[in-house]
Amino acid sequence: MNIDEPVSVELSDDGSPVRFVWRGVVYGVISAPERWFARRPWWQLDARAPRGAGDTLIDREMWRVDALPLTDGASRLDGTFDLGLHAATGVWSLSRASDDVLDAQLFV
Amino acid sequence: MARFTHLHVASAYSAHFGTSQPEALVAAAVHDGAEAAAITDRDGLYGAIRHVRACLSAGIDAIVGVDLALLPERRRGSADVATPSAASPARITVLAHGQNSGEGWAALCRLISAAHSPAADGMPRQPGDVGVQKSRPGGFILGESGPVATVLLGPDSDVAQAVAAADLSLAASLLAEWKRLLPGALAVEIVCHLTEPGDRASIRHAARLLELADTVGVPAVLSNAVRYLQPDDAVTGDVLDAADRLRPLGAFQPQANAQAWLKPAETMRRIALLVVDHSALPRSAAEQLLSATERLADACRLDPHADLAWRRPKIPSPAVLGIEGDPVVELRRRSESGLLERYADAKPSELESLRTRLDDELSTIAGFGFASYFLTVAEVSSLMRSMKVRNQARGSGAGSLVNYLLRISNVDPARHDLLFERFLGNARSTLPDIDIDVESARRHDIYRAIFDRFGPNRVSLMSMQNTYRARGAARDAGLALGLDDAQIDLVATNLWRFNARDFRQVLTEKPELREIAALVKNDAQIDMLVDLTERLDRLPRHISMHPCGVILGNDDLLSTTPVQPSGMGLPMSQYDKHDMDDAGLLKLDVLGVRMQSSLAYAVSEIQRIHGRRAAHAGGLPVDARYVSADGIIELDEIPLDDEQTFEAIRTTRTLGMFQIESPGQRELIGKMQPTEFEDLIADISLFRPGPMKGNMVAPFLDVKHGFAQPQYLHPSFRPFLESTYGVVIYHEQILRIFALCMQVTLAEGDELRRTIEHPEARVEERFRLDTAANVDATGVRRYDDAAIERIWAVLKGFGSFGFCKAHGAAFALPTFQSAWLKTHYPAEFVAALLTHDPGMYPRRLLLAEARRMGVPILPLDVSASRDVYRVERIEPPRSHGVLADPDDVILGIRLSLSDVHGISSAELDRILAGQPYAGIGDFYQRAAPSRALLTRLALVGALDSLAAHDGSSGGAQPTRGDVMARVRELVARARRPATRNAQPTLPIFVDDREQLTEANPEPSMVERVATELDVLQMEVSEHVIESYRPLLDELGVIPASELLGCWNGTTVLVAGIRVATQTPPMRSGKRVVFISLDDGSGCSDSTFFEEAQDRAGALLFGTKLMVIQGKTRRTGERGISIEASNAWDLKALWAQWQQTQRHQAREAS
Repeated sequence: MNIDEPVSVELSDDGSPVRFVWRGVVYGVISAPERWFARRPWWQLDARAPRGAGDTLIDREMWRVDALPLTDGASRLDGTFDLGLHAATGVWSLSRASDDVLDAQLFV
Repeated sequence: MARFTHLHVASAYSAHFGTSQPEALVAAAVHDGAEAAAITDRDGLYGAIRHVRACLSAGIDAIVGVDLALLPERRRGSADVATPSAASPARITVLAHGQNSGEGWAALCRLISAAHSPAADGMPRQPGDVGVQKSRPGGFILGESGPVATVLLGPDSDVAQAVAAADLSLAASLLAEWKRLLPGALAVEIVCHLTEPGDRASIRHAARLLELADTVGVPAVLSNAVRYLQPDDAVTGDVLDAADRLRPLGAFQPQANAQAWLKPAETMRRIALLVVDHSALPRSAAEQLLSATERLADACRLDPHADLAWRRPKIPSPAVLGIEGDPVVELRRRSESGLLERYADAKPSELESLRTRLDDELSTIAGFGFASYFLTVAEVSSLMRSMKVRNQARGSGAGSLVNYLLRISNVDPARHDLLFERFLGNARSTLPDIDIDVESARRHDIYRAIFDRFGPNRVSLMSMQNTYRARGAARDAGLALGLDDAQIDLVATNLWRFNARDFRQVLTEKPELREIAALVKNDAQIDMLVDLTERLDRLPRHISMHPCGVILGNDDLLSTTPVQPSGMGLPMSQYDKHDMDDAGLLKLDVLGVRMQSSLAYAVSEIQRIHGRRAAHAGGLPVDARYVSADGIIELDEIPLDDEQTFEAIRTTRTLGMFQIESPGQRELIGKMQPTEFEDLIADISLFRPGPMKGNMVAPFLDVKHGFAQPQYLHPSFRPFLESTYGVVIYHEQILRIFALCMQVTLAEGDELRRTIEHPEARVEERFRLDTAANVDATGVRRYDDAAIERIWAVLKGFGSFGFCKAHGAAFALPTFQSAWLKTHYPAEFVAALLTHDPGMYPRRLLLAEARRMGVPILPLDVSASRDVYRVERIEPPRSHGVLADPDDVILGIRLSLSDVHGISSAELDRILAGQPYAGIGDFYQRAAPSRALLTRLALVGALDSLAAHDGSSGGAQPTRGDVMARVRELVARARRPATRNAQPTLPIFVDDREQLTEANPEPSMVERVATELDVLQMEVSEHVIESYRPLLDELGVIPASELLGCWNGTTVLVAGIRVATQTPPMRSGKRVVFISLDDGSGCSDSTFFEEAQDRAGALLFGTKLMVIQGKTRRTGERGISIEASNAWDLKALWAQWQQTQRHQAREAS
């Protein structure tokens, strides 16, 4: 399920997510976070791609975590989350979440 | 910090995949502290030799392998057994082991050749079919004393594909099968690109594969399956993927991310830990993985000398040439007998000095062990002669007396003062180049004959890498962005000879790109296109057969280089010309030259049409020794001082004369007014960027024409500077200057010449010291300080742009031969030019030239035209009962059927087989042309003769309109008459003159010309420009033929069809554009300087029919050109003019 909403993320010393806040709910990471790189369709998003300036055109850093809600909130979810870091701005977003009951909770 | 060796690295020589040059990859590996670097390009060793060279110069070891597709096994009696998930074909990597006397390298070469082995028809495989079946590698890499290579099963292997599909039991059985097929020659390649968890090359995928290797008991190594040097290059990779798939970005599954770069050792170490941490294996497995990687790397380190016989010449053994005993003795024997043939008339003293020279050459050749090489080349040359193919050595090889004596070259090196030392000095250790020009039309025959003669295991064609240039780069970048064809065309067609790398900069500089520059400002996609075009610059696109390189090797050639089928079916090496010396391969340049075909054809036409009267017909002395009794002219023996020929050259009507027909050359010839063969050598040597920039032309001409006294730099130089009027033009002269001043040998002189620009060679210092120390018997210095200054100034300037005289002399020979033929046999020569199209101009211009020389052009005629342009006798009108004087016979040129638009070779064969024809119906029936072809032939009058009657019954001849009416009638029938049926069902078809309807109108001249241009791409009836005559007259456009009568500086308008565009080298270094227009009366040459280029804008390179305004500029006695100030599109002017005309007509009525 694509979500793409900004979240605030708390990081450990090695730069991996420990906790994040989404829609007012604090989630705690309960697995070893797995770092991976998704890709961007730079030809749609960027105006230029000159030689030597493409380091951030393709890769988007993602962390896949299993997390549990730690506080009460409107929509609570425990499942697997992809947290994405926008390299240029340093802004985090919740890119995707997967959970069996997610569809029912959010979009029915 | 521990080292890490990347074992799987694709360079840019993985076409449409890799993005980085091998040299850059090696430099990065060295920077990271690697002791060895690998290259594993897709499908071949295209970049391998460069890689080894780069490693050698960086002082690290080279590792070489290949990345090959895994083809499905073919099992007898059953359909192909597909590998799992056939979405993208599985791939494996094979790494050669080193330090095994080349066994690993040989296995790699032969395995790759097998992966490319030709399709059933002998032609190249489809791109998707290149690869090997799983069962193949074992046969190549399992040597008697153990494996000589290792197969890597990486993330694209069938095993890893099964793991990605979560079918672990299939994966295990596939891996077990590999293990059984390749005992001890197998490793699992762990790759982690940090892709989405679970995907190919994700942490999980890598971890499962590592566990599987451990379970099955196969060693695992770590790699990054490198595709580019830095993450930035991944963008280029995306564009290449689009070009490879011929689909825009977004329309296919792109690479997962930008992680496939050459990561540093430390990063790779962390990846090893990451993967192991995600596996069920203990942490120590990471160290094991890394050390196994380094162990394999060590086994694969190549020793270039022991494994590749680096730079050691590998040529056919004397036995292959049929020589027993010492090749040096054989070479001497053949040279001695050549001496007697070539110099039969020489005086004893001349013979004496020739023998001394021969001894010198032979001892140098023997010293290098090159005797077999010369004998090999002589064998090829004699093979060509036995096939009666014209051939001529070019280049510095013409400086060798041995080459002349062995008939490899036909230029007498003694007579023209050509030096062997320039060709083969003392210091040379790689094979010298001998290039042979042959008839282009016979080139493939020659290649096949060489394969037959030397054996396919010792011969291969050379390949060449086609790299992205501006146009191709823009096209593929446009494709990737999904631009529509019209937009791509708009950009691509305007790009003109510049490096794609400079696209953005060039946009601001070149006037013809103004429109595109504006587009870039307003259209974001075009803006992006510029960036992507720059990225593609110079990347290899595909490999193709080199236009002339043939590799002659020893018995192990196919263990030295992989081969793959070329477009003509013969195998070609995967190495290009830059790899030859390092691989120790002898490359013979057998270059197809259309002019050589034209010369051969002209000679055969002369013999055919004149026979015993050939000498007489050409105005030659009847006892000319270079004309045989039955009329065969030995072109290589014609006198090089024929005054008539020089007179013809001096008119500057040089169209069709080899090398001297371009507008710039016409101008130079007009100024130079050559009077002897030496002048032609000088002319060809001077017409190049260096001499033009160095202003060597002016002093040469001033002295030649007697305006100035020759300046010899030093009196002692006079003997060898006299022929160039005191100007130093040739390398050979520089060698002599060094030899004389510094008292060194000519070979040392050549070494000095070669290193003159290398500061470490200290040539200047040595020259000054040695020349100052050069004293005569009485101790007086031969060269004072002023002389040394003077001489050094010239040497310094000339090192870079002098020309090898042997090269110029070899070139000047066909120049003179073509000029000689044009002078003595104009009809035969122009027929040859039309047939083999050797020049820079379109055929239409040759027709105009023929007419100018009084040679009639005979129309296309299906009963008389052949597949070549033939000379025909036109008998003068016969007066009653008197036989015509043969001298009154005029020769005309019959147009060829081969240039009819859309004619197939089968149709052409049928037409020729059925000639002559009795009528149009007969032709339609027996030659069976397509309906469209029949119509086209009729339109250009090729059927007129079939309709014509002999006039005995009186009445007018049928018109073209009548013929067309008959053709329309035939074409309209549903069925054509049967061709096979022996009994004609409708005998009336045979001669159908009676069936012609009459009084259909003749087409107008304008219609005729338009049709001719359509069907023949040249106009026969009259010049295309004539259609615009009313406008041209109103504008006051001047015919090209009248330009010479204009005063210098007259403002004129010329018009015509573009026949040539050139941007030749200029003294100032600024770009100048030459445009030649043909208007039927001749050619006008206009020069566009910067301001005029600016005004002409896109017209400069894009428009065919033009009107140009400018001032006349005299360039010599018989030369005139136009300095252009503006240009217009004639068609656009015409449209405007017609509109005005109509408007005025309406006003008037």
